[in-house]
Amino acid sequence: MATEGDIRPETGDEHAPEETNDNPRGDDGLPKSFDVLIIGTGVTESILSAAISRNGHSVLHLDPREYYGGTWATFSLDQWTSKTFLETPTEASVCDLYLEDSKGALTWRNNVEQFEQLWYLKDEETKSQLMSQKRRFNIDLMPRLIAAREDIIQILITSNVSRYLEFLKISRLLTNLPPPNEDVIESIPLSRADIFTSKSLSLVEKRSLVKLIEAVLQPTSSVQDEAPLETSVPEEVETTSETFEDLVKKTKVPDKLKHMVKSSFTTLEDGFSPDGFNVEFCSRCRLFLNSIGRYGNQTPFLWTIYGISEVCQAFCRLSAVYGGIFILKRHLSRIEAKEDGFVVQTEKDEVKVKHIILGPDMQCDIIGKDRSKKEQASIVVGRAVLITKGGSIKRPDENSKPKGDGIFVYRLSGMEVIEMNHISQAVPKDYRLLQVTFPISDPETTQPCRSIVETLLSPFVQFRKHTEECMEDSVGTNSSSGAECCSEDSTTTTEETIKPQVIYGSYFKLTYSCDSLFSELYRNSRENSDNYIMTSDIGSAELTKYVLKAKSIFSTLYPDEEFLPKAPDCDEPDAMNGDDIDTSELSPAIENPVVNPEVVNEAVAQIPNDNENEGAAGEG
Amino acid sequence: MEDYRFLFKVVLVGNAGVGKTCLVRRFTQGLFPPGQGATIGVDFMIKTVDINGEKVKLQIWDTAGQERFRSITQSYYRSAHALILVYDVSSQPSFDCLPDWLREIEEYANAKVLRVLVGNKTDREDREIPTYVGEDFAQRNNMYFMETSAKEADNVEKLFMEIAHALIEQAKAREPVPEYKGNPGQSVTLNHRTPSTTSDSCCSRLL
Repeated sequence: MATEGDIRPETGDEHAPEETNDNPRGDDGLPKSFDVLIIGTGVTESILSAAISRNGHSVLHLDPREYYGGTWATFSLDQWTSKTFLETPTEASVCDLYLEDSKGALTWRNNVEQFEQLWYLKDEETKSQLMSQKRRFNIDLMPRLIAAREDIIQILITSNVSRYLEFLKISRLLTNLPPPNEDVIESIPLSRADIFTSKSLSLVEKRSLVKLIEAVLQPTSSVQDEAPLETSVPEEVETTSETFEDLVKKTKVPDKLKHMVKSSFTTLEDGFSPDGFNVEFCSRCRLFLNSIGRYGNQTPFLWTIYGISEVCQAFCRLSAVYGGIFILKRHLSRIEAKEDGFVVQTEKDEVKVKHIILGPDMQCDIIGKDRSKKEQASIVVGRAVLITKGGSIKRPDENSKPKGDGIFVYRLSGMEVIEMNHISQAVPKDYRLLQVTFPISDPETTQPCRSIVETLLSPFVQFRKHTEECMEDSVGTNSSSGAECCSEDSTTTTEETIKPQVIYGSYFKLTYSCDSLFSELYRNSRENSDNYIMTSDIGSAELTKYVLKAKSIFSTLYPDEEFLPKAPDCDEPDAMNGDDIDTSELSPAIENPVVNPEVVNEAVAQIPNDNENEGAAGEG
Repeated sequence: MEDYRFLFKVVLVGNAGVGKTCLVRRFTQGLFPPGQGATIGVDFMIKTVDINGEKVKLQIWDTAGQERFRSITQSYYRSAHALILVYDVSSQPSFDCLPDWLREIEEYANAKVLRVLVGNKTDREDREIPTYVGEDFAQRNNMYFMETSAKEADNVEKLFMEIAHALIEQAKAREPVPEYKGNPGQSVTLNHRTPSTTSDSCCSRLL
């Protein structure tokens, strides 16, 4: 037991790495050298920060923005409407780069374009009512559904970062039918129980769907520990490297069902690679089907409570716990390559680092190093954020018992609409938040997002003010009482005809582009070691790719090291001696999966340990 | 062992060097840490205490050094039931920063969070902040107040016990408090989610 009075160094940082003579501190207490400098707090950078710091390497992690997450950020309503994310720091938008044989520059870039927002209901009362609850909003710049068996979930579990996070289960996936029935929305059944009880499918369709799913699942049944469908061996299907079209033909899937299956397994990226869905169908279908039920959910998807930014922050937290130093709102002004690394100047400090990792918001141009088109990637995503009143897009069936999930996912005419009510923690009570995402396959298109969204979603939500609409509407008599018809308690007679009213809408384009598909921007090779400038940019919106990128950058920098080994549990009194902890001892937070039916009703999925079906395992 | 009725998340904030980690360690482990990087790999600690015969588990979170450059993640404040704002009675600057911390708390923490102001290091002979000044600040900002010495173990136990007390009172006032069903894994996230059927029940822990 220590007896000295003030045990702190001046900086008072309890978690700082042990100070050694070769790592003195600068004026504001920042050590003068680090192993890795990371710029940007998006998901790849955050995972890397945790992985590197976790293994004992020192990390300085900066973000020129004042919030965590970059394009993975989440905002309250006031932050959203004041367009916090459009700000681009001017003073530091250019950082000079002096490399051994060339020069260059780092430029800050903003990938949100053509932002447009408007209040459809202009009355001040509604507006101020919403603003008074502004912090009850959690609006993702780019919303993310995470499949329960996606890589990120595995990493969260194995690294123990899951202890910082809570998830919601998405229990319904819906789609509109193909023309001429495009106004009809049907729920897509995915689990066996759902298929049996589904009313949206005929008996023939049900049989066909089961056949299709069995066909997909057949060859890899060994990897499923809890596939939603018990594998009753199908007779005629023996292999499944087939494309979607092949399978559809083989199992004689009717058109409506084909559309529904396509809707349920499609992703944003399919909008940019026309054949992607067809080819990847089997592997994706397997991932999704294996994801169903993992946490008692009926769809493959989980949702991060408080938004996807939490995931970034959770990894950053782990990094900090292991000594990573975080500074927001700090820019770089100059980077110079030296013999054994880089000298980096920020506004306040000069630090020496061995490697630099740049997030996707930092564009790096090195003179004389033009990238070929082949190495570049770029996609443009259309986005809309709508706040609505007056219930869900899909009226609940009389018989279906209300579920506590709070999030529905719709696939409507090529758009993904994530509809959230207050249970999702994304929006206050009585309102809904619609997160709309769609591919813009022609980046030159001049049609603004707003008109695209208003056109495609008008069968499902009311953009113009209700009372105006009611005048012309054939059902006007039912809904003549304006505000009332927006109420969730509206009588069953009007339910069929009344659409949710959009109060607020914002529209923008999100560009993901990268100049180099390679992580390595610059390498300074030495006898003993290499020093790298790496970029985590991938020009894609797919979460899995960002996770893989983190792994690949890590293995370049630290080829012999384990990526994010399990962090020891530290919440028991005897688990205090850092790495001496017996890591086999599991934290209660991780060990016990959601098995309590009441909890399932609450729709909260605390990510359990991998042996989730065991449930009640005790400690140690 | 894992039989307890309440679990509360308590977070500490305040300037670097005011003794946050020492408070946690003194309370959970009964020792005053030498501070030689030993806390690497630890971000929160748990101690179960007995309050009038009820087992209460306190999960106490430390800032992991992110307070140094004012870069604490928003998620750190999420679902905290109590928040301890610490300053060093021998450091005027640490006291002067309190309004900044309050602003951050207002911004990120639950409005209903129990807020406690703590002046630490009362063992120091070079005290700069008299007790009444701290007391006054706490009163004006509607916070509980206590002075402690993590080194001498003065008031540390009392601080956390009183917080536990107050939180139980608060929880009970927010009836109904269902009997905890004894699955510690869920309680980390679900302690305020009464397993009732109303979907609103979880909102109490919101921003």
